[in-house]
Amino acid sequence: MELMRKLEILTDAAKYDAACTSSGARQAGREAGIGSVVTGGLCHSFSADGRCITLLKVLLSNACAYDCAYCVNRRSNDGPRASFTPRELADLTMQFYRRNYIEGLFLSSAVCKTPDYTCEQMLRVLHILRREYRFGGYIHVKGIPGADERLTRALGLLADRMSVNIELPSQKSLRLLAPQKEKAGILEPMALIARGIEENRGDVVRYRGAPRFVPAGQSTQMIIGATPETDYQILALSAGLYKKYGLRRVFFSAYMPVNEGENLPAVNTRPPLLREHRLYQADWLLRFYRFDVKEIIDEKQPNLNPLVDPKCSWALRHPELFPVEVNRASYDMLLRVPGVGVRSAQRIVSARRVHSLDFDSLRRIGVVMKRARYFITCQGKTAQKTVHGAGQVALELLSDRSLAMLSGSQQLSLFEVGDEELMRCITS
Amino acid sequence: MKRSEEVYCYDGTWRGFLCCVFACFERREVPAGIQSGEAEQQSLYPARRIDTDPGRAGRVETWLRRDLGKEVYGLAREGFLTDLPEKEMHIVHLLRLACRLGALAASAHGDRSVAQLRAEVQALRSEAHLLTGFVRFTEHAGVLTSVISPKHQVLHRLGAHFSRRFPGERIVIYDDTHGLLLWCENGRWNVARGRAVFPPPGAQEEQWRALWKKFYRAVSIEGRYNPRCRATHMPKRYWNHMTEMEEEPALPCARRGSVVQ
Repeated sequence: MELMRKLEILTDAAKYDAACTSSGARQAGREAGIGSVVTGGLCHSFSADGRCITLLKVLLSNACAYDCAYCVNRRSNDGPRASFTPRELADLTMQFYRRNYIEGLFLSSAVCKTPDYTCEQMLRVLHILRREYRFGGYIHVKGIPGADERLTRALGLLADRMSVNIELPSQKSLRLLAPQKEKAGILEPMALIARGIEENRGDVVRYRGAPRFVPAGQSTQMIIGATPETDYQILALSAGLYKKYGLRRVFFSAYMPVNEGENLPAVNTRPPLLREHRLYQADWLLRFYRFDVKEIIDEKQPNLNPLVDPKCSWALRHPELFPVEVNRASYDMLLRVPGVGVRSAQRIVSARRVHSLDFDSLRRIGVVMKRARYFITCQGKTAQKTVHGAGQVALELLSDRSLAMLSGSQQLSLFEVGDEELMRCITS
Repeated sequence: MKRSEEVYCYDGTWRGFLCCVFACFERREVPAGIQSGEAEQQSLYPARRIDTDPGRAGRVETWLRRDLGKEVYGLAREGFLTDLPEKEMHIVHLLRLACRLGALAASAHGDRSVAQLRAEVQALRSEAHLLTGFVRFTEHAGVLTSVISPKHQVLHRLGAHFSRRFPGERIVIYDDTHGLLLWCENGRWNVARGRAVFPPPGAQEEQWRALWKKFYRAVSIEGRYNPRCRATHMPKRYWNHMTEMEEEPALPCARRGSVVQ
């Protein structure tokens, strides 16, 4: 088969994987003939769906032995099948890399014949790239559940990041949609990689020139909206994964209906993109804003509010903590003000050592005053526009898009009802 | 320092500008303006020609580097490469502030000049960061070439990045906005004034381009089509030098509220 056709088929089969980041790796200690990594990651293009393209994201093969209901590559699907030879894929990667099209390779594969055979083929690609071409760019490789422990370790020594997809947020859903996969089977390679990283951390300190095992850490992905789990379950699970396996990232992927099946949403359902977006916002609060899952969401209201972002929603539920005085508030408290991000919070802290801040300088620092104005005071003053009650604040905070989601009568009723009802109306 | 009724004229180089800074402090005055020779703006103020003297420039540079801290130096040096109007006057203001505050001057976000310099330097750095990804190389007889049209002068940042990434390659990048050329070889790089016209790509090159375009089309998910999101992350002014965007259909006129459905 022609290379062009193979590339088309195997890219098409890999595109539903959300993880396309090239961050977390460090240049230090690398000696390479060609290639480098950027710690913060680097986007090389953006596809028509608005997602970043940073790695050459392909499957090595899509001839899968498994039959998972949600997956395009399942055995019973009738579609074209193709496989790269390891040499072909390594050459393609090098040529793309030289022309600055990509930051590296994202290598995944369907389970072709057996997990061990698949792993060996992937290992061969990585071997050609790293040893023969002395490629120093970024490599993300998928762990294959069920493969031999030694093979997974060998992959980890050549890759920057590894990931094993948890796919569905609960054992029950997994049994329903992916009968050949077991929760334990997925968590096992994840634990193996986590252990490897932990051991390697000691080795690197102890022995000069010890090879680095998965230096950019591991990540995972789960599908949102194929099964009935709540946002609370999903976030609690990802917080657990961060803690237990030391994951760098948990990716959420809005379910795109690609197959028909009695246990699946209908093929014409739209992907829950807004829900995915809110989950990512909540995930950011967990990772960068020092929030705890319990603060964002609880069993009583197990789903995130689609109308306002999780941080605003938290602030509206805690009027007793606001307004905060920008010139005195702690860094942690500044981080919790809607409209203040990590970067603005740091700038506020450094700027107020020089002079006291007013609203103008806050705007120049990059604080989003549209949201922040209701929650802060500067030198004891509030922003001129006064708003009464949490309800009206909530209404002011709604984006045009969220406002359009409410019907006309609902918008009107937001003004008429009392404060408490208003709050319930918006935050429920 | 008193205000002067003169405009300083210099040759447009960084060293020339440092000599203007030297003159300000020597004459204990703030000029009405600082103009580079190229601009040739007519002005009502009398002009004072400031000659470039490497010795004086070196003294100012040492002061900036040694006494004022990395951040102030970065703001002044890279602020000079942005397209901020009257950038020279803003930098002089920053340096006067730094005389009083030292390294802290860089954090004076409330000061108008400092805030503007910070914003512009930030814009320069983020444009350079975007371009480290968006530059597309074409191979001509073993040399990798590329053309870019950036707003700010970013070649020094691209030079540092690409010479580390491709130590074995010879690279030429032409900045057609400012008429500057970047040359990388053996892990070293240099920026110079100049012009360049590159020949069209050969047959082998066209094949790799076609493969890349095929990948670009295939990796997008149709059900999530979102051209506005793409244009936000990858502004359209970069598209005309990007291989994969050559045959992309133009963005349909985005109407307000059209995203809701």
